[in-house]
Amino acid sequence: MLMRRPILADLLIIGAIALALHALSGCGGAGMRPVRSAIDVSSRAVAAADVGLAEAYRARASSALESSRSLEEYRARMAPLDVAEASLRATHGALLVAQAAADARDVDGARGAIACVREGLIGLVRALDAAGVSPPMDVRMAIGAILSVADLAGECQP
Amino acid sequence: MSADRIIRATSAIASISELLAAAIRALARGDYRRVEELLPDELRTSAERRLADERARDRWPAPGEGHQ
Repeated sequence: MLMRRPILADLLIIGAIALALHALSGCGGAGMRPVRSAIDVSSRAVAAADVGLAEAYRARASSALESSRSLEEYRARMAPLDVAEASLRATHGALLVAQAAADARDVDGARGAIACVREGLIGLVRALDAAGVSPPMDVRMAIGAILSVADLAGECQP
Repeated sequence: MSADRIIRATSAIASISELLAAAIRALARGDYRRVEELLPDELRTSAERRLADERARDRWPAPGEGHQ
């Protein structure tokens, strides 16, 4: 049985992390430093989520394969985990786009890509919740870090 | 408050402070790693999904897709 923390506690944690990071990063942080920081933190978050989700996927797929009577039934059982996997993959893709923009020193492109990473991470938390997999704290921390840095404010335009 | 709840609350506070300390260290370090250094080309979950899909297709082959 999963232990679910109240949403208010999550928000307080994200808020505390955001405040701490904002204080540490200063108000400006011009250039690519905030972008590279967000890429680093978010990549570690995706890596942490990947480890937990891969384990859950393997166990759930094995059980679904045994208990399903048809491919359709198997796919229906795995659907929430497939959504989470797709969400994880999309966030990975957004991170690669952000990395390419950072390498090209394209500040506007990088901000847009980081906004897509942020949306990807938020979607990932929802998808993991829906799949019954506890989202790692690193993911919430990465969302808090991106939200805390004004230089990273942008719109996701995939 | 029960002893169990006190223990859980204490460990939650400890993990939050550890995370904050880790975030502070990461920010202070300033040596950011690249996506390719931190993530494989194919995520572990995607590999698990691919393998599980193959097993499912082997178990329930589509008409005309059976083993030779």
